[in-house]
Amino acid sequence: MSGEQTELLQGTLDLLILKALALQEMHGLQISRRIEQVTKGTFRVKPGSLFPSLHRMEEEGWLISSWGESENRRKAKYYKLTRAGRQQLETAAERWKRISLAMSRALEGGEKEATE
Amino acid sequence: MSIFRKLKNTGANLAGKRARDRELDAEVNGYLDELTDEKINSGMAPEQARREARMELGGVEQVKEQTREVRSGFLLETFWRDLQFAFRGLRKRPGFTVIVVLSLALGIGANAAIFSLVDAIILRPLPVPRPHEIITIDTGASRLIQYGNSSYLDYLDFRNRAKSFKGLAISQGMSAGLNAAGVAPDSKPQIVYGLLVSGNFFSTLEVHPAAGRDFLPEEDRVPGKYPVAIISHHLWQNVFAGDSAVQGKIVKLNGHSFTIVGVAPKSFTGIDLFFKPDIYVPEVMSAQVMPDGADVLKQRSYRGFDIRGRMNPGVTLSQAQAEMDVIMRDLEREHPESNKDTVAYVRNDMNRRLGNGLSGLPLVLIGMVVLVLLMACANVSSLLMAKATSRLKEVTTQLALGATRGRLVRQFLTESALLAAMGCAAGIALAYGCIRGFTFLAPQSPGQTGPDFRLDVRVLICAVAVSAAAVFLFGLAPALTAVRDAWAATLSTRTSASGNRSFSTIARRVLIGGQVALSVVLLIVAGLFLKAFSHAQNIDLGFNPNNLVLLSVDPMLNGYPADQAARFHEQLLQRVRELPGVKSATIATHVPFVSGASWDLSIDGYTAPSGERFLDTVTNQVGPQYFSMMQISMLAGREFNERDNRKAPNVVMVNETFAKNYLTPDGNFDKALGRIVRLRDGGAIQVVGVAKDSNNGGPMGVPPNPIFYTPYFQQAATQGTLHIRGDGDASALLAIVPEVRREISALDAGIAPVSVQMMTHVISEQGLFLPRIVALLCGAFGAVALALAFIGLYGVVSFMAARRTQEIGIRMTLGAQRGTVLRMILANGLVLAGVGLIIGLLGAGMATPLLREMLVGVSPWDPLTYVAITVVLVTATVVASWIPANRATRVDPMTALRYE
Repeated sequence: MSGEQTELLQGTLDLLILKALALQEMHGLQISRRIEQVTKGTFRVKPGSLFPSLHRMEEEGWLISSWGESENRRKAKYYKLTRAGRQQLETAAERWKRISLAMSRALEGGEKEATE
Repeated sequence: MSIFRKLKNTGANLAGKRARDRELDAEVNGYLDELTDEKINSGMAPEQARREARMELGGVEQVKEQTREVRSGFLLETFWRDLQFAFRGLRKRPGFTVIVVLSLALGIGANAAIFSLVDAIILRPLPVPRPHEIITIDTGASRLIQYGNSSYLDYLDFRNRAKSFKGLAISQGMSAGLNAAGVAPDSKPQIVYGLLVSGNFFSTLEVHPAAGRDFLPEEDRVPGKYPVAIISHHLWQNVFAGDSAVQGKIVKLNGHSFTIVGVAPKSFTGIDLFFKPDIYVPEVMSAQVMPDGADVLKQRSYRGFDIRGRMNPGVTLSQAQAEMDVIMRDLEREHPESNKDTVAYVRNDMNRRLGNGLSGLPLVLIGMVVLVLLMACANVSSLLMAKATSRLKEVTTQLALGATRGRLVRQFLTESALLAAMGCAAGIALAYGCIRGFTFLAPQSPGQTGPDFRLDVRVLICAVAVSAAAVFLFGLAPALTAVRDAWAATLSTRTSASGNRSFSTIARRVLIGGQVALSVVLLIVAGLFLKAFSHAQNIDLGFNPNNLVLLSVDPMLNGYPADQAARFHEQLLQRVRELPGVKSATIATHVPFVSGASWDLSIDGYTAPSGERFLDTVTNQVGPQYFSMMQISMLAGREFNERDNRKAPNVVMVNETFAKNYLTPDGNFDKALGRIVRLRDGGAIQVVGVAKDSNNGGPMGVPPNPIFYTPYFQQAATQGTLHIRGDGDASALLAIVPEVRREISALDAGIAPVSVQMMTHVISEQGLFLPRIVALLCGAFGAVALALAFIGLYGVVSFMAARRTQEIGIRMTLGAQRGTVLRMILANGLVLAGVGLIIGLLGAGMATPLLREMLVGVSPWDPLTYVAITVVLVTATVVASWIPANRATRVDPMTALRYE
């Protein structure tokens, strides 16, 4: 698992975070857990990657943070998508779909040829 | 991210740094708490939950650091922190810091200052547009002579016939009495020094007047018709107080009225680095300004002019030279009596300047500058390398605490930058200080001669750049190595205690040895020059300059015609001689080192090898008893007395060189008496005396020119300087001056002396200018070199001793005496210095013969100098090694043993 995590590209993590926040605002741990859940455990984001990403995206203006109360009644920092963030989510998702489509075509084609 | 956003974020981050750090801390710890809670909720024990959560997180501090790294402004913030850390680090090691900064300051500051000096004296180009186009033309009287002034008529022919030049102009130095009474606030009569120039002087040089106008073409055509003048900016400010209506004002030069038509720009101070003219007068007006001015324009053989011109674009120097060769041959055919065997030399102005006996000097000085800079960099380098290796332990610890390698490198870089900045700032300050010092030391004299010292910014920038580069290179490279070594050696616990033969050790030894060698060379050169200088100072001038006051009076300033002026001088001399406290007094037209002149003279019974009849010979018009008063011995015949006046037959005296060259080669001076010489007007003049050679203002230690003297009161001289020798000492002499002034006023209340000075002062200020400057410069370089070598050696020995502290502790615990240990460390330093010394002595022995022509009267291998410098250096190295060695042995053995 950790092997895959270290190979996770910065942009990819950004996209996952944006997607996770698409429906509701969440705090750090919640975002981690959400991503883990949605990818069925493939991606386990460590805080050493998560926080840098969050802060960077906040500086970019894609997220906005605010302090609130967690479920366990602790103070926690919640992140929410901004309009620019939604825009970025769309753009990045679109780009990712294109790339993955191309990749799968390339790989499938190779397999087909190999079996023929 | 756009630049605006980046800047906004940076600003926000830096401004709210503390708040954001607190927030971050809360956020990350909050995550930890949530994670812990999660585990507890899933059934884990609280302690274990907390532990596991921590492990999963990976360390709160690390996460915080990783997050901080991506925030805008992180680099800036860390830079600031690094700077503070570096500053503190330097403060903790004051010795190291001072040495490095001092070395840099010397290397940069002293160098920049000295180079600026050379620039002021020699290298600065003319203050005209495109100075590389300016050429000079010399007329050589024979094919053997490569320099010489040209004549007016020849110049006109050059101008009319040569096509290579966009313009040719002449100039001739002059001095005249200026009387600006009635038109200027400062209306005291004074002597001004200026140039007689052709009308196109300014236009050829492309210098435009700052006020008024340039000369018109017709003002340069007819002798005596248009008395106009252009004044310098300096004169305009000083005498006319910058009066904007100065154009059109009329002043008197030597009694003749001249109209000021223009003011030269402030940037133009003449075509000679040492002579700054205050007034420019058209050449055709020379009769009004100079005693033999009328002849000057009519005699083709009167050669008294400098010719300067501007090359036509596209014409090369050799093409111009070839054209001039043809013209000269034509002139030789057309005017054989004046132009036989004459040759013209066309030269670039800068080459001509350097060729005049100063050719070796700039190279020597630049060489020294380079050497000193190298030494400074060597010092700094070796110290930085030493520091880097000694910080191995520190670096290892920092890495273990979690610092990234990049971070450490950035830290080292900051330290180097700080050192470089401090050193450069100190260097710049030192440079400015030195320039001030030079300006203070430069000789001042009438006519505002003296170089114009300005700090050469190019050199300063060069030196700063080189030094900064050195600091970075030698600070960074070993730092990187140290970090790499530390990274690899995180498992080892001890650094080696004895010297290892690593690259840096060998390099350091070479550097120090080289420094010692270089400083030996520099010091020996300095010593030789100093010796030459003192030699020049003590050289026999041929006359006694002590207790001699020079006082010049010019009645012509008050409109006296020539013969009345002569009578004035006669009466004044008589009165002065009778004053109490005056041992003897006389008068002369020229004073050694102050002024001089030469006339064309033919000698009956002598033909020059070139076939010329008239030889341009140095002359002086001297009053009665001149030679006995100046204490110049007579070799034959008699000197002038009161009877040698207008009514008496014309007589002349000559000096030893004149007699030997032209009259009696066998040296039997009695045979010279009675020989006849003639001036241009043809009358026979008899030689009545031969005097021993005395220095009339040429360079010291060089055989003087042939000189002939005519009686002051036999010629129609007008300007004269009283030579008064006092009875008692120098202070009594100065008391005489007011008495003399009173006598002058008694004769004519309106006349005042134009200058009063002591002969000794004149000599020390003028005659020794160049040797003094050179000696001072070399001394300065030598001192700087020695200081750097001393510093370097001290630093290295300290370092070597520090590294062996543990070893010292062991030895002393085992019973070694302090003395033995001291000698052991001392030996290290001395061996190193000793090798450098030997190399330096050999190097100096090879290099100094190259300077032979500049070392007048001193052998390049002068044993006294070599021995003295060796002693100085040995002493310095002993001291430089002893202090740190001594300090090392004083350490408590127990502390030494524990030191790692």
